[in-house]
Amino acid sequence: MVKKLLDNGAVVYDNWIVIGDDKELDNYQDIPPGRVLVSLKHWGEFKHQLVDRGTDKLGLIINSDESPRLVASDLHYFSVIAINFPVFTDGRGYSHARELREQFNFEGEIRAIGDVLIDQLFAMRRVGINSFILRNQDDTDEARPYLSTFSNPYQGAQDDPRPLLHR
Amino acid sequence: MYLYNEYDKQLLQERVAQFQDQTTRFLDGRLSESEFLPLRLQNGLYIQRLAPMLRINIPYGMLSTTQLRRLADISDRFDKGYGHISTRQNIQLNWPKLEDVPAILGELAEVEMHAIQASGSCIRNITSDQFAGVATDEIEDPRPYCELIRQWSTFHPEFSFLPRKFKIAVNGAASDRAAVQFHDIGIELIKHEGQVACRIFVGGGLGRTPMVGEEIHPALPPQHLLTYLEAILRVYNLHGRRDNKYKARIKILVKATGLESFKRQVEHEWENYLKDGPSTLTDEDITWAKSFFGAPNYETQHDPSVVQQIESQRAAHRAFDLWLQRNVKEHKHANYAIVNLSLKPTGVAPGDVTSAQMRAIADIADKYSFGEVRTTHEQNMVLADVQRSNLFTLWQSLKELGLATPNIGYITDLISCPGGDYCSLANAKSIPVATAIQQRFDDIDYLHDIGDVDLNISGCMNACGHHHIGHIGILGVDKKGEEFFQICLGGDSGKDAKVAKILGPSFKAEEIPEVIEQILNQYVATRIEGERFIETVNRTGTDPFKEAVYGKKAA
Ligand code: SF4
Repeated sequence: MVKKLLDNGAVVYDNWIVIGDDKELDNYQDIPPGRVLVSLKHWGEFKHQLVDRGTDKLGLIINSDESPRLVASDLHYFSVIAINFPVFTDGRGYSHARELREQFNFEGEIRAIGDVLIDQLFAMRRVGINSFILRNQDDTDEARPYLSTFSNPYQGAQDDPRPLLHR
Repeated sequence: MYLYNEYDKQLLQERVAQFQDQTTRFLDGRLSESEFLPLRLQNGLYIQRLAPMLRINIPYGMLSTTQLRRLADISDRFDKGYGHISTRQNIQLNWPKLEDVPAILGELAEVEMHAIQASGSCIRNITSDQFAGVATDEIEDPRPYCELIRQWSTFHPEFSFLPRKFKIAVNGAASDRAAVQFHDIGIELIKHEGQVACRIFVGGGLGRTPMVGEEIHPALPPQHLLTYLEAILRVYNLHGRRDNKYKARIKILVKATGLESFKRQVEHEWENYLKDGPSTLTDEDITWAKSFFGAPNYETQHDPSVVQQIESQRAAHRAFDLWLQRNVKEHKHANYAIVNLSLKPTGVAPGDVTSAQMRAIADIADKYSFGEVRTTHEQNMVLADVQRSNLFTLWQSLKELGLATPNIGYITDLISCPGGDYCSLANAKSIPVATAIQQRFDDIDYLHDIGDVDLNISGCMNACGHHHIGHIGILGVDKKGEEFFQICLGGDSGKDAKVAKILGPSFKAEEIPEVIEQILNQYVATRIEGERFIETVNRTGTDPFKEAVYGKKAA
């Protein structure tokens, strides 16, 4: 099972099954039972069967070149949105997280997956991502301090919408 | 000047600790080269041809003498005893050791300095008018706005990894001394219906595809500045190209999308989600930011004998007279003057300043200019508040230090990138060409007759020497492994922002001074009384200049 870091620093095991774009699916039966994170493409294809699992067992993967706007009206089906960072220098996911929280009021879990490194955790947490699957799983137990690199950042964000000037 | 409070200080300490940790992990092999690269870049650290290069931010060009002395100490202890003022008002050290960099950052943090976001794909140091607060043509002091933008952009979590670097400049005077239309975002402070407003340009820039920025907002009330910037940055972050670094700047996005459609996207974000949100600036915020940039304690008593005294000093010392004409600018307070220190004496790499000069400048600034110094994007330094009665004594000290070359704005006050002597991307060595030009045109009467000419040199098409916006631009090109230089003409960084046009086939380095002289001769031959070089170029077009350089058939 993979280790997952939470935004409060706790480490838990995660049992969601990831069904990304790279998984070929011929029919719905190819998706295993249980909690699944599906890509936008698979969601489009199997939406009607997938919804029967219920929100608790359903999560969506958003790649960096896909906009949350594409699924704005479907967000209530998911308890998890996984933002995929194909490489850590692709910063679109940061804006996607804010869009999800601020524009679509998504209140569930937003997790970072893909090329997730400890040096980016602080910024990721600030834009509203609240769980992290680190690429290097061995870093997970030591990652906690990297969630709070700076004590009083200047600008407002998801953790505190007020800029330092107004705090 | 902006003074750090406990939060700013804590943030810097945390940054030093963060970079120390990252460097240690890199040196231990726990962080790979490719993972460390963007992290060190966001800390101003390049690996150059010969050694690492550390770029240290000087926010909007303002330095205290304490900071300048610390820079002198750092360049002695960790480098070769000099620094280089860049075209973005920053200072660069060319020879630090990677393992020393955390210690250097620690030393800098003690004097409220840093290298945060000095390079990398993020929002860079905010630049501005070097005469802010003292210029006679000022509409609004840009520095408080620069500081508010600096704070907002520092470690902005959403914009940690933009498609490419992002440069913002603010100007608040009738003349544009910050080249705002050549920035990713340029902000011009104007008066609109009696109130200060921000005219916002987007998509300007130099580099391989030079473009003049386009107006995206004619008069934005300042309280919306940060939320509006956030909207622009978000659209850029989401839609800027990431597949090709040469097409990744916002200028390409604006061009490809079209200004109107780009603007609609920005306004959609802004109106629906950001406008009037918690980052909206209050009057108190702006007043607070302004409180750091009040006028120093000027001597207001007017002494009429000073004018007399200066006149007789001028009459007695021609060099002083020349220096006054060229390097000293009018100050908004009648008892004061703005003094430009030329870092362009012949034979010194443009913008280089030694540690001894830094210390001496700090002493002089303490004595004569309220303990503050500024850096300029023309790679010079400025003492902004010198009492007129001190000008002569000051000039004598500056002369001894080699900082009184009376060439501000002349062709020898040229801008040059470090070029092939330092930079691994270079096609050609720009500094020897700069020196050859300075040597050719060392006659002060000739320079005086020619007047204002902006000459800019870049060693390759990355255009760090801003050759596209020089009245005369020189670009190093590679022709089958040999160094050549292309000349372009008619660029302008001011309010009539324009990109220079290529004149014709390129030249060898040794031919350049001659070619420049032919261009200047053409100007002298066709200028109308009182016309500046760039005005003649604009009036006649470049064809007559082409003919002067290449002969009849070329034109
Ligand atoms: S213009 Fe080219 S040669 Fe000059 S500093 Fe920039 S990258 Fe280097």
